[in-house]
Amino acid sequence: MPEYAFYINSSACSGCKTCQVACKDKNDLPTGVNWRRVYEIEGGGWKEENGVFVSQPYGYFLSLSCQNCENPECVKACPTTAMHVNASGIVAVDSELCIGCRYCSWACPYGAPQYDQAKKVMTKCNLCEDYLSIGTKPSCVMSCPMRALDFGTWEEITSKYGTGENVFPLPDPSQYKPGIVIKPHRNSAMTRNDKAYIAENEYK
Amino acid sequence: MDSDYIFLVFFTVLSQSAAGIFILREVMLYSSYNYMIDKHLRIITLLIAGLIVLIAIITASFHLGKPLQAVHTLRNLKSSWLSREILFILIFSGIILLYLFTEFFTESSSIKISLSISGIIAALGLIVCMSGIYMLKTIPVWNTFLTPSSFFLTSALTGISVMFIIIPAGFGKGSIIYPVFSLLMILSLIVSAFLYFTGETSSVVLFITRLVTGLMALLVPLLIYSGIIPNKMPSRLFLLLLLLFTEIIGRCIFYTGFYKSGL
Amino acid sequence: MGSDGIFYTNRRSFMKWSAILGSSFLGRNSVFKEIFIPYNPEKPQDNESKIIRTGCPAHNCGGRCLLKVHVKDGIITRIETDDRPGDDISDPQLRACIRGRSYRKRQYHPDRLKYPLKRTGKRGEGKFERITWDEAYEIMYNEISRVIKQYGNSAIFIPYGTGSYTNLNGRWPAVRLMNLLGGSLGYYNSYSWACTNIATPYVYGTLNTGNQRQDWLNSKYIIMWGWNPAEMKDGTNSEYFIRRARENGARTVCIDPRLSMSAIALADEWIPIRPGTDAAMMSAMAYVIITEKLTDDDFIRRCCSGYDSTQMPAGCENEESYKDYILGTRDGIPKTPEWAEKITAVPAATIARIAREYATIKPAVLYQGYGMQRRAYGEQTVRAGAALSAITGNIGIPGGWASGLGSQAGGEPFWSVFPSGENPVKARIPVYLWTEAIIRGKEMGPADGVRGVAKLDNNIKLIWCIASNILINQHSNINRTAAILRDENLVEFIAVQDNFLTPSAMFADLVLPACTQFETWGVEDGWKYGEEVFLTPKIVEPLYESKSDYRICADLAKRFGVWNEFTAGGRDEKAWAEWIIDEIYRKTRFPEMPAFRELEKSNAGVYVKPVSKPVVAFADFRKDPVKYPLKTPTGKIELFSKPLHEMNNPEIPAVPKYIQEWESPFGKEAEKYPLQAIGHHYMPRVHSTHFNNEWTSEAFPQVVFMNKADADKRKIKNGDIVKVFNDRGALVARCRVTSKIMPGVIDIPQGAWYMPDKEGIDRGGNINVLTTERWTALAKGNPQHTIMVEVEKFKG
Ligand code: SF4
Ligand code: SF4
Ligand code: SF4
Repeated sequence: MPEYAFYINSSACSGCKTCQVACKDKNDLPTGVNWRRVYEIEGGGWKEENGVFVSQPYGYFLSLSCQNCENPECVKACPTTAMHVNASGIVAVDSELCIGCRYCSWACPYGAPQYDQAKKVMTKCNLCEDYLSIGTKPSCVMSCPMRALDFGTWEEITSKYGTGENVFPLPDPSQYKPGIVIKPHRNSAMTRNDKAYIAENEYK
Repeated sequence: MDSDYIFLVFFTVLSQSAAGIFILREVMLYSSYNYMIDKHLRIITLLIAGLIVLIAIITASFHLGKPLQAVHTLRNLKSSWLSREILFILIFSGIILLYLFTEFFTESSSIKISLSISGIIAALGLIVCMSGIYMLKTIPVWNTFLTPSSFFLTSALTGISVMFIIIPAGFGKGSIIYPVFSLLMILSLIVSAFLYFTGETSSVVLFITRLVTGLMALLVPLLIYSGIIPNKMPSRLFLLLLLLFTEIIGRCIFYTGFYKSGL
Repeated sequence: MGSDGIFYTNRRSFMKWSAILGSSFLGRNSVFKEIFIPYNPEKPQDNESKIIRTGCPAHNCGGRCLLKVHVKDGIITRIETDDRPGDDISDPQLRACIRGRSYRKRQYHPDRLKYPLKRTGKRGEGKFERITWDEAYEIMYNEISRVIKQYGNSAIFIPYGTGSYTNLNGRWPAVRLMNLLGGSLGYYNSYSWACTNIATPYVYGTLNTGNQRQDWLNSKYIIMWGWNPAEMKDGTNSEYFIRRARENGARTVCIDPRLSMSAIALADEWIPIRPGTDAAMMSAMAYVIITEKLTDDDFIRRCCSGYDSTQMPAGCENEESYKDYILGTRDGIPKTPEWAEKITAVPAATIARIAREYATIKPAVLYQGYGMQRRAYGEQTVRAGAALSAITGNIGIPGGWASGLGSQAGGEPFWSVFPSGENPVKARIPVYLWTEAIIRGKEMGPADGVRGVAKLDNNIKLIWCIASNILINQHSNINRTAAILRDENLVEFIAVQDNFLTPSAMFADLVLPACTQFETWGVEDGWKYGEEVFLTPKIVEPLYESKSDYRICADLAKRFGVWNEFTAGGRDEKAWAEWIIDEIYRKTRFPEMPAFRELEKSNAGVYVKPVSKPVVAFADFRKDPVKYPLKTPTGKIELFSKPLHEMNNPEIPAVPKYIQEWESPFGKEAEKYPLQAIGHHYMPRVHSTHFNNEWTSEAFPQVVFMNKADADKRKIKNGDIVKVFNDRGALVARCRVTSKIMPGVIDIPQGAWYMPDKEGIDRGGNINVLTTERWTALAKGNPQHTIMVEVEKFKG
C-alpha cells in the first residue's frame, strides 16, 4: 500500500491549472518547473455529413504531481540516494546529494521529478510536508475551484473514494503502486478505441 | 535531440571505444596476433584507452548540474544502474592505471593475466551497466536489445579502427579483420535504422548522414582488403575519423529517439 | 516542434517588445530580484509571516475571491485562498483561480511602472523620459486647464476601463475630480455586455433576470449557451454550482463552437454551433416547441405580450408577432430545424431534441454567455434566448431561469459606490463610440446613441485613461485607432495611469505609475452575483514612486484648489473605505455586515451573506402579473417590442430574429476570408491584465486555436507560427492545431498585448487588429467576435 494518496476527480476537473500555480507560488518555482502539472488529453475528430458534423472530438484533464509510489522508480534510479523515501514516507530529494543528472526524471513514469535549471538540482513535489505536519492539506488540494482534488493517507482516501480507475495516459499502476485514486472523466472511456494524445506535448 | 545530450553522446561513444580498445588489446595479446603488439605498443594502447576514459569522464561531468557533488554517485549500487556504471568506469580506469604500472615495473605474467581478465570484466560490465541505464520501462525505444547491441558494436568498431592506426604494420591486406569490420558496420547501420524508425522524433538529415558515412566506413576496409587502396596511414586515419563521425551521428539518432511513455 | 521560440511564451515576446522599445528606464534588472525572499522549506513561514485576508485584485474577471496574503518584511511571499471551514453551498469558499494565485508575478514584475514618464518621441513610438511627480502634476494641471478653457469640459474624456476595481483604485476618483472641475464627457454601457445591457430590458424591463445561483441546484436541465464559467469566471463558484447541480440530477448541455473547459468539465453533452447563428437555432427550437405544443400556454397568456396575434400591443395589431416569425406566416420561411441546420451546422434532429428536452424537462435553465452578444446582431440573440425561456414558462420558478443578462434578483451588485458626484456635462456617448467622438464628435447626436444632449459640442481633445487598456488594446480595429491617436491634432493630450507600460500607455503623452490593489485601501463587492463585500487593505507599500489612483487625483485636486471638496474634508483611502462600508453597504444592502473597524480587526477580508433560500427572479410577477407588472410598456414580457418596432429599422426587428451577420461564412467576404474568428476570454488573463504574468502564460500561452481540417488545408502543423489577417490588419502567433474547435472557426484568445513590428504586423497576437469598429444597430455595442479572416503559415 502506498503511504498517502491524492484523489483526482478528473470528471470534475476543468483544466484551469490553479493547482499548478498554487504549487508554484507556495514553492517559488520558476517557469519550466512544475511540481503539479495539468495534462490536457484530447482525441477524436470531426466527420461531416451533408453539411453537419456527426462525430466529435473529446477531451479531459488530469492533474498530477508526485504519486509517492510504493515502488518509486525514481528512488531506484537515482545514483546518489538524493531521491529517497524520507522518515514520513514521502519520496523526497536531498539537494545536498543531488548531482543533477536528471536520471530520475527518465525513470519516473509520471514526470514528477522536475529539474531546476537555475539551482541545478532535481526538485519535486514534497506533498507539502510542512502543511501536513500542521494538519493542513496540500496547497494544490486547497486551491481547486472545482473541489476536484483531495489528499490523505491511502486508507482515508480509498475508504472515501474507493481505489478509482487507471486512465490514459497513465501506465499500468501495478508495477509502481502510485498513491493516486482517479475518478475518471466519462470521456476517458473513449481512449480505449481511439488514439488520444496529450495536447500540450504536441506543440511544446 | 536535447542539446544537453551531446555530452552523453561523447561520453558513451568514448567510454565504449576505450572498452573496445582494451578488450581487443587483451584478445590480441593472448592470441596468435600477439606478435603485432610489442612492448612499446602495449604501453601506447593502454595510454590511449586510459586517456579516452579520462576524457569521457570529464565530458560526462558537463552533463551534471552539480559535478562537484559527483562523489555521491556511488551511494546507490543497490539499485541504480547509473551508480553501477560509475563504479565500473572507476574500476576500469583503475585497472588501466595499475596495468600501466605493471608494464613498467614488472614482468609477472600472473599479475598481468589477472589484470587483463579483471579489466575485460570491468569493460564488459561497464557496457552492460550503461545499457541498463537506458533500458527503462518508461522509454520504450531504448528498452530493447538495440541498446546493448548498439553499445557493443560501437566498442568493437572503434576498438578495431584504433588498432588499425596504432599497429604500424597494420593487419595484412588480406586479413580477415577487414570483412569482419565491414560486417559489424552493417549491423551497426541496421541498429541505427531500427532506432530511427522506432524513435518518437527523428531527423532525416541525421539518418541520411549516418547511412552515407556508415556505408563509406564499410567500404574503406573492403577496399583495403582487396588492395584497391593502399594499407597506408592516410587511409587508415581516414577510416578512423569516418568511423568516429558515423558512430557519433548514430548515437545522436539514439538520443533523438528519446520519448517517454506515460507522462 | 517549432524551432522559433520567440513567440512561445508571452514573457519572451514581452522582452522582445521591450527590446524594440530600447527604453532603459524599464529597469528590468530591478531590485526585486534581490529583495525578493524565496521560500525556504526548512523554515515553515507560517509562524513568522503575517497573513492578511483580502479580496483578489480581480480586474473585472467576473469573480471575486478571497486571498490569504502572506507578508514578510514588507514583501508578499505567498498567496493562498479561502480556507474557511464548512464550504457549505449557502456560503461556499471563495477559492481564487490561477490569476489570483499567480498575482505575485504581476505584483513584483520587473516591468512595473516606477516613475512618471513624459513622451519624447512621436506619439505611439514608445519613447519616454523619467520626470518627477511635480512635473507630472504640472503637465496634467496645465493640459486640463487649457482644454477646459479652449474647448470646454466636454472635450475631456475618461474612458471605460476595468483594470482596477476597488472604488478607490480605478477611474472613479478621476471622475469625481473632473466633476468638481466642471465635468467631462460621459458614456454609458460597457464592452462586456453592450447588447445584453440594452436588449434585456426591452424584454423584461430590468437587467436583474437571474435567480440566485444556489437555485441552479433545483434545476433539472441546464443549457450553457456559449457560456464558459470555468474559464471566464462568471461569478466565483459558478462552475462549482453547476457541478453541484449535476450531482443533484440536472442534465447539462453546452452549445459552443469550442469544446471549452466548461463543456468538458460541466456538460453532459456538447453541441458545436457556427458562431453568430445562435438566434437561428433558438428560433428553430421555438418552432419545435410551438408546433409540438410544448409551450406553457397559461404562462404565455398571463405574462407575455406579442407572442401571437391575440396579444399584440395597441397600434401594432397587424404586425408580425413572435409566432408569425417562427412559423414563417409573413416571410414564408418557417424556422424549422432543417432551415436552421444549414445555418448553424447543428443537425436538425439535435435541434429538435434539445428543444423538446428544454421544454419538457422542467425546471430548466437556458443560460446565455456573453460572447455571443458581442456580435453584429447580439441584441437578437439575447432576445431570442429570453423568448425561449418565456414560451416554456421557465420564468419565476425555482430551478428555472429567465435568460437575458441575468444579474441576480434580490440584490443587484453595486460595482462601484465611490461618490463620483454629478457630472455637469450632460452629454453621454455609447461607450464603444469614443473614437467616433474624437473624429466627428460635433456631428454626433441621438442617431449615434448620444444621450443627454441633442448634439455633442466638442470632439474629444483630452483623454485621461486610468486602469484601462481600451485606448489601443481592447478597442476594435487597432490600426485605425492607432492612426487616430497618432494624430496630435485630434486628441491633443493623452495621459495614461496604470501599473505597466501597456500598449495603451505607449500612446500616452504622460504616463503616471499607479500602485496595485495590494498597495492601497479599497472595497470590492461580489461582481455580478456575489453576496459578498471585500475589504482590501493596504498590504504592502506602493513600489517605487507609484501611487494609488485616489492619491494621484487628490494631489491633482490640490493643484486645482479643490482638495477639500475632493477628499471630503481630508479623507484618505482608508477613511473612504471606512465610509463606503459604514455609510453605504451597511446602510443599504448589508445591514448585518460588521462595521469597518470590526472587519479590519477580524482580518476576515470578506463579509458574506449566506444564501440558504435563493431568490427567484420574477416569482411575484409570475404569480400576479397585474399586481407586479414589469417595467416594460405593457408590463409584460415583451416578445414583440413596440418601441423597437417604432424604430423602423430592419436591423432592429420588433421580434427577435436571426439576421445574417455583415461578415459571415455565407457572404461574399468568405471567398477572400473564409474563416470565422472568435476571441474567447482566456484562462491566464483578465482581458489584457496578466498578459505579462509568466506563471499564467506558461500554463496558457497565447496561441491561435485551429481545427485540424483547416490546418491541413493550409499545410499548417501544430506549433507552427501563423499569420492571421484580413483587410484591417494582421497578427502573428503560434498555432495550436486541435480538434477542440469546429472546422471553419479559429479562436484567438482576446487580450494579448498589441506589439507591432516594423511592418505593422502585431506580434503579440491581439485579435483587435482584425476586429471592426462598426457598431451594432440597437445597442451601439462592440461586435468584436464577428469577423472573417484568413490564416497562412508565417514566413518571416
Ligand atoms: S485546480 Fe482543480 S479544476 Fe483546476 S486544473 Fe487543478 S484539479 Fe483541475
Ligand atoms: S511519481 Fe515519480 S517521482 Fe513520484 S514517487 Fe513515483 S516514480 Fe517517484
Ligand atoms: S502537494 Fe504541495 S508540493 Fe506537491 S504538487 Fe501539491 S502544492 Fe505542490
